[in-house]
Amino acid sequence: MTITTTTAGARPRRAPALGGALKRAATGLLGVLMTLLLASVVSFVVLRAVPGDPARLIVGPLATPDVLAGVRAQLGLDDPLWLQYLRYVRDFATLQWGYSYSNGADVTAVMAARLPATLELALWAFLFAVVGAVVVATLASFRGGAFATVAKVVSLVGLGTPQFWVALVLILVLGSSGLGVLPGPSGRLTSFLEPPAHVTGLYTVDGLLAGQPIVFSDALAHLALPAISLAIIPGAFLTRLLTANQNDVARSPFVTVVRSKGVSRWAAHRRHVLHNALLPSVSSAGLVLASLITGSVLVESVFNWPGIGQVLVQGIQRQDFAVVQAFVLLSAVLYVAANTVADIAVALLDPRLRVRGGSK
Amino acid sequence: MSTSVSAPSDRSARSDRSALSAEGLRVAYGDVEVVRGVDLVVRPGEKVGVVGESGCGKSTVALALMGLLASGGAVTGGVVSVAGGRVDYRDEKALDRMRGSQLSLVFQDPLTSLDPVKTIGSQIAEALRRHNPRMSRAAVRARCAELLTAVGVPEPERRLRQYPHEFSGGMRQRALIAIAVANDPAVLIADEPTTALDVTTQAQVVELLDSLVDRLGVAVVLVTHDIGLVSEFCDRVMVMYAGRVVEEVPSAALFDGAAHPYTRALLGSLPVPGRPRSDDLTWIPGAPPPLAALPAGCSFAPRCTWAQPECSAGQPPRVVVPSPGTTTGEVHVAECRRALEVVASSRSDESTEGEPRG
Repeated sequence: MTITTTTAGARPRRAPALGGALKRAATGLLGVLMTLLLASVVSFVVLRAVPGDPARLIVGPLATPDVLAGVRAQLGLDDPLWLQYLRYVRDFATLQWGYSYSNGADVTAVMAARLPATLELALWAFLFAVVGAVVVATLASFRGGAFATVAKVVSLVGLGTPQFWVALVLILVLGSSGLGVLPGPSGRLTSFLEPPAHVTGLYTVDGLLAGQPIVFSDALAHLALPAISLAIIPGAFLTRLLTANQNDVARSPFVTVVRSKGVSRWAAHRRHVLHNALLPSVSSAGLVLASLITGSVLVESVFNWPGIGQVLVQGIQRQDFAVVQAFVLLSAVLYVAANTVADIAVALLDPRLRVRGGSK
Repeated sequence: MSTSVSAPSDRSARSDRSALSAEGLRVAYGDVEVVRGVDLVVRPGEKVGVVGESGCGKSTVALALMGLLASGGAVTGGVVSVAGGRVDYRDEKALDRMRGSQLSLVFQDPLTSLDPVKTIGSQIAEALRRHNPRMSRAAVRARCAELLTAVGVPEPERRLRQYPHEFSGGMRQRALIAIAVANDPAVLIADEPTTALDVTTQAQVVELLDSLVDRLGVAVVLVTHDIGLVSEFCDRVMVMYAGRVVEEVPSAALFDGAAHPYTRALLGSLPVPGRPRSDDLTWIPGAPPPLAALPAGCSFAPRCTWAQPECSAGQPPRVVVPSPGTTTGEVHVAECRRALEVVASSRSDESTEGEPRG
């Protein structure tokens, strides 16, 4: 939020606007805290309500009751629930997400090692979804007619298409078992290539930074199919949203006024309709990004992608509390963060919400 | 207003020609003809009003002249010329060149007529740049400020950087007028420019339009349902009913010499301060006929108190009405077979009504 302090020339009527912005920020912050609190309680309760004793899983079916009791005490499972909950919140906040026995390492370390793969996949999928949606929606809204009808039907079908099915079809058609244009489910890089020097953990970015175009293109080729599989549903959603928004804006009187200046229909659409239609979609795009980061479980499984989704699947199968808890809360934090960032972006981009400081 | 907005010098040279003329303009939405042969001639610097009830086709005429009909609408007949050149409504590129430079539009609702996410300055500049691509950035900015000053917006430099939501309704309408006159058009079509404004602001906007006519020599076509506004502002009034101009009358002759029963009915429904009436305002029974199913003959006949059986038989004749209050060259035509009787009766009404009351 750009809240610049007003100078001597400022007008008194700006004061309420500034107060309003602070109030809005405070309400937003409160909302964020409430969401996180709720998410932490839900993940805590649900995991303790499911049948199965994690201590028993760790020690195995043959362990003596003494050993079992020892492990329970060590895990803090004997303490009252509220104490366990407080400990859980404290540990999460301090990045001590516990020990994952199924991975034999700290959850924080496991997540840190796996997160870049998921992030890279999600970011590319987001890029594909947004670019595809903007192009298709703009053409559909501008041209109308048969193109718009086809775009509408395709995006409806896209919304209802199961991800894993798309993933398998893509592998069979384009991947190693089909046309062989793109690599199949073989991780992030071809095995003989070394990962680029670690800067961001995103192979495409690091490959470029390290000046290794081969690594970049290979990483991108590996990314393409999983990212497309992941992008189809959010891309279809954004296409429908953007088409509807643009059709609404295109009917506004101000577009007629723009045309009355002699501006061509395409220029009016590009400069005015698209701009107005994109603004309300920014917050949806934030949520789409969050859902891409946390929702890649199936696609990661199909493509053997070494991201956090795979860790989650293992964690659930082996009742590895620490992993699942960390994932659920991390998802909540990501959602809230993406939402907040999107709200701030809208507030900065939309002049009607923007807080204007001094008069100059 | 100290800032002068210069009028092109050739304006006087073409004063004998019309700034805008439409002959037999027809507009249809699908199969429904909503404008059925409208003739409109506007001389440079003239103020012509187009009045009528909602749905009579007056706004459609405005949009059709601009070539900006909503999708589904099309000009199906007639010849339109702007500043001497014939307009081809199928040539979008030529239309784009004409719009904003020769013919421009001030739209109904100032609250929704500006892009909410662009500054006022950029929206005025867009009109300038479109028709003057070589104009420098500084020149555009200076001209924008000059235009805002000309339409009576104070502190133009600061106002140019503001967004529409920081402008009041009246100020937005002024900004829209600035956009419309940015390229010194020959004709400004104002479609209900004051309807969405409060009364005091209405008066200011009308005054502004009036002063722009004087300073720029721009001709104005004022489309409105407000016959009182038209009589004050315009030189000439076209009264529309069911897609046709039923009466064309000089404003001076409007109140005393209106010759079409519909015009008389519109005037009768107008409250006139300082002229007490014996009874309440009159009103027109019924509603305009659906354009998809017009009655045969005169389309006003079913609501008309003067109607005779012949009125429903065939298209009413165009009757030239001699009006004492008009100068030579001004036409007064009514599309009514009893036009002369209507005028005669209204004049006798006036004489009795004009007498002082006890």
